[in-house]
Amino acid sequence: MKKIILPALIMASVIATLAHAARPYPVRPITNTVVWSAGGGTDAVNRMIMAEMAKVLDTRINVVNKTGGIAGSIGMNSVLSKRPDGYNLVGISSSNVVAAVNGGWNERFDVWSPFIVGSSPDVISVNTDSPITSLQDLVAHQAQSQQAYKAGAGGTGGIHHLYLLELARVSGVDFQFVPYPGSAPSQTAAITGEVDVVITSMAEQAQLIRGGKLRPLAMLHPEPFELEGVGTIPSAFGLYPELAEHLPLSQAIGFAVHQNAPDDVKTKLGKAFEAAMQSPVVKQWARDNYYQLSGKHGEAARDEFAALESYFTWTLQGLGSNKFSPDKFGIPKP
Amino acid sequence: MEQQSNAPSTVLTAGSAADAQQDFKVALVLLAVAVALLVHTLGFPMSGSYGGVDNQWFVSPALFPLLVCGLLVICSGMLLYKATRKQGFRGFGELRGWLGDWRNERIKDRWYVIGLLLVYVYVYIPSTDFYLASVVFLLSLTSRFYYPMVNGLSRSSTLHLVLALCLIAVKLNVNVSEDTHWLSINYDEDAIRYSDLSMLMALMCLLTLSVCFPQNKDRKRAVIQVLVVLLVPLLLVCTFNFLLYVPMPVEYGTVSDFLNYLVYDVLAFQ
Amino acid sequence: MLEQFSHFFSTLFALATSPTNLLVVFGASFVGIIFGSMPGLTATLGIALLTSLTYGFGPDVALLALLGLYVGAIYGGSYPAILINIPGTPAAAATALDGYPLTQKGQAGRALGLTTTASFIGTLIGLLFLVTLSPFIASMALQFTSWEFFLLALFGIVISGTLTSPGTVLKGWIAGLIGLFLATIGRDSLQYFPRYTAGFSELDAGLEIVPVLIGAFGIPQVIRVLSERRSLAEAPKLGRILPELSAITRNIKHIFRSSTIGVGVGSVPGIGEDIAGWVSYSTAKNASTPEQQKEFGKGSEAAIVSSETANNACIGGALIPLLTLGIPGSPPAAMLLGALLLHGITPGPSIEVDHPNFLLEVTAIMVLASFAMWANGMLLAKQVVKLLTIPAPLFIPVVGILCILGGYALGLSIFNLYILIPVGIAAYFLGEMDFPIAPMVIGLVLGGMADESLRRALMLSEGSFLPMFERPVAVILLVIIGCFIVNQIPAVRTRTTSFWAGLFSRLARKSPVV
Repeated sequence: MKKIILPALIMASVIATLAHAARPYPVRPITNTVVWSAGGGTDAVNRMIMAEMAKVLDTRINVVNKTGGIAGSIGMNSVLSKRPDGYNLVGISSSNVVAAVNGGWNERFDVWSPFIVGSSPDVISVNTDSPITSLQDLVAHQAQSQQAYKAGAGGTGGIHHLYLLELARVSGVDFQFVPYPGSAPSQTAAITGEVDVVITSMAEQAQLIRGGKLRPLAMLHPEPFELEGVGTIPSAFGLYPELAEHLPLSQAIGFAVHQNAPDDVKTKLGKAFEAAMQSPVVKQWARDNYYQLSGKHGEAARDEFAALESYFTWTLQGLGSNKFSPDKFGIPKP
Repeated sequence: MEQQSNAPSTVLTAGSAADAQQDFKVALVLLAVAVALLVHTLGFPMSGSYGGVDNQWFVSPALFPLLVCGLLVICSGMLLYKATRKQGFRGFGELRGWLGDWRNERIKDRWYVIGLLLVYVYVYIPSTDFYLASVVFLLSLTSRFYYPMVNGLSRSSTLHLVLALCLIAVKLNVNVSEDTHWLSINYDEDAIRYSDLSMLMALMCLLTLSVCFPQNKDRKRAVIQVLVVLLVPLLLVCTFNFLLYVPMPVEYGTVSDFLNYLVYDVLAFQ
Repeated sequence: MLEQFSHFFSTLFALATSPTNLLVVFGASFVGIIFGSMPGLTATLGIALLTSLTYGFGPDVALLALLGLYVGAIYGGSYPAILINIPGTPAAAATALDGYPLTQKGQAGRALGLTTTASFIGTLIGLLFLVTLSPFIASMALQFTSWEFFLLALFGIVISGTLTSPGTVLKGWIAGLIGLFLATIGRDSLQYFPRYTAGFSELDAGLEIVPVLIGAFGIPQVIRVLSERRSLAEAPKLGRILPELSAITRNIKHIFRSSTIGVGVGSVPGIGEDIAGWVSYSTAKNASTPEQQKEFGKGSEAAIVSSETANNACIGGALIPLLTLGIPGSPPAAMLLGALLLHGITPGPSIEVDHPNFLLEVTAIMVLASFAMWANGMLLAKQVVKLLTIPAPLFIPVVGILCILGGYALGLSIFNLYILIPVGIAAYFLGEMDFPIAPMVIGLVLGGMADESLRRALMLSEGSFLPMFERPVAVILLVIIGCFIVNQIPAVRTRTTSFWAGLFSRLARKSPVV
């Protein structure tokens, strides 16, 4: 036994170092490491798009979850330190851009070449028992009661929190921000009446709105939204055009490959991505789940993430919750 | 835990005195740790604004830890008091009371297993191929408990000490970057090759020792040991790597790399 | 109602008569049991893997596979808990307390037979609740605000005092407090302040429960069995594994109580099977007579039946808020939500509009899945018991590697191992000094929730504790907690138990047929 295995091991080390890239990419299965937990939005989007891309690339794509650290820094760090051969992707969302300023890692986001699948617009809602029926009501009601609204949203510094800050800035409404571990618990808190208003994405909220548990006030998005069975939800941009200064930030969800990956690998991934985005399955899925598809990759996607990085990090700097100044990483001001 | 209660409680008085001495020590250690934590916790922000959330005493991140550490201080104080009343402070200065009696085989074995677990997890797994590390770990245990070798404890301990130092030296000297820490996973492929080679040599030493110098010659046991030690980790690595899609900790370790090459590039397994 | 019944049975019939479906559900249930029985491979991970694999199938087949795996994994965790005292999943941790002593007595087969049937009955009762009471339970679950979450966590912490033998109550509390402390490590979720992280960003998200669990139960067992040259069990009697129906009828009241607890705990969003097992275990202990209480921890039938019924009943409970509100009731249910979304099914209040009778279909699938689990269990248990005939010095080192690989596989993080080993060594020494380990695990599981909910509740009430006494569910929880605390005072305890014993004997005299 020993006689066979030991020489085999030694041979193995020789072969393993010599043999790579004999056939064109992808020879092996691709691993996509999602940095957010299983069952969440980023995870669902990645599993869906990967399954479609696997058909085009004619290989298997394994989706694994590696959560933790600051804004997904552990998963991103581990993928970044692997070979940039295109066999390791990372599933990300716009919330990952604050990892550096919070001390998660020492990289700017341009180490990735992102592929943006899409996003879901944010909506601000109240419990259906609330007397408030519109954004105007919200403002008027506070003028009477003089009390701050308790506003629920997932994690400090997340995209929904930033939307809340923007809305507070332009409308002058006083919100007391109550952080929750994620969008789902914050919505539950709005249903139980623990908080007065909640901001999450349409994808997360649509079922509760349609089920009559939450009442939408306005979209935090330039266009109104047509929700089946509910009607048209107006855009807050109509009332407050100043919102357009920074918004709409899209809650960009997608995946990325190491920026140093070979060009032919990136091209091949890009082609597969485009094909997958065109497939009826993805389109149907986006319709069912209230996602707006983007399909950006390459230069366009890098620019979008650079803009997000700049806005997120500098806004948090203004709140004083950063560990390091964005200057340290050379992130320009928005 | 539970089997303790099943143990026959003979010599009740002697046992309870020893118990009281143990309780005294553990209570003292707990008390010291709890007080240190309490002092550390007092440094947490009690008020002010952080991350856009207004902070008052009831929102402070220190609220709950203070409560827990305070209760821990009280509980360990009570344990200390109970132990003191049973004369638990006796034998406090003796090292034997802390580490166990070194002449006792059971105590030696206990520290051997603990030491192995520590080097396996903190040194071997992050620096070398998971298969090689696991084979060495497995063999070190079976060659002590299943098919014991002559002088196993001292030989094996020496081997592991040298091996561990060797691996740490490789990690801290071959192509180090600023992020390299002796606990971080090896990604540098040169360092991995050197580490794997050291591991392989250690494995061969251990295998030779265990097969050639057993305490009691038993051909059947020798064969079973070698088979289990070499094949079970292989089976585990293959199951996790190819069926459960769990890449090994050191992904580019020699054996993992070879298996990936064999399965995907040669056999074209999808 | 009648129409629903006929639809339910026609769905069940259609599912059960297709050979492909049967193959899928049996296969998935088998894989689930394997997942559950491997320390570190959890139901959540199993569902995550299967989600990608079943993407290409229709939603019916995918659901069969996913739910089959879910049910199997929750049940499978009891195998290693009973056989080697290392729970395969957090859900089975309470089962180990009494399952392993039975193995040591050579009755591993009987223990496995018991858990199999108890899990089966638990799942079915959970389903019954799902079908009949889901709107009511969902509305109850929505009464849970931060105050109730805090009290629930407090309740879990209080019961940890009942999990210990009377002599070591103080040590039980210390272990529980250590667990609570471990839960505070990491950035706090309200203000993002790093607590006790010593600059490690890996600690920011807090300690993962599964590696700590493996460390606390697995590593001490490895050290102990090897260093004491102990064998794992008395030579097991390799007889037939029976469904243990008579034992089940003996413990029927435990089964009903535990299923209710399981459903209740499962339906509250955010907490899951592990807590259901503990709560049910300690409630069963509290409800027993002093003679029966002495059996707890030494291989009590009632204890095994209670924790296993509850953790499987929890599945039905967890599906209630998932299907009716779109809010997952437990971590595996959260993954299940992701899987359903992938197949274009969005659970929530409007699911009956989008997919009429979906609830009934899920129930039919679950019924099939629990039958598959039961059949698999009955066939597998006998083979699994044979593992105990492998010499421990060969078997336990492999278990050690499995523990370590499992701790790593969850989250693919080597840092998990750096936590797992020190926790394991500390748990070993604490165990040697008669500290119970279970309260530590409960403290870790519930500590985060207690901390965060208390502070959020105070933040919303601006520092006032009054709202706690104004909410009905909170008051009920407060009363229950009060009862448990009072019941732990020795004088009160003897009096209440004698009261109950007297009541039961009087009832028994009146109605001879039990």
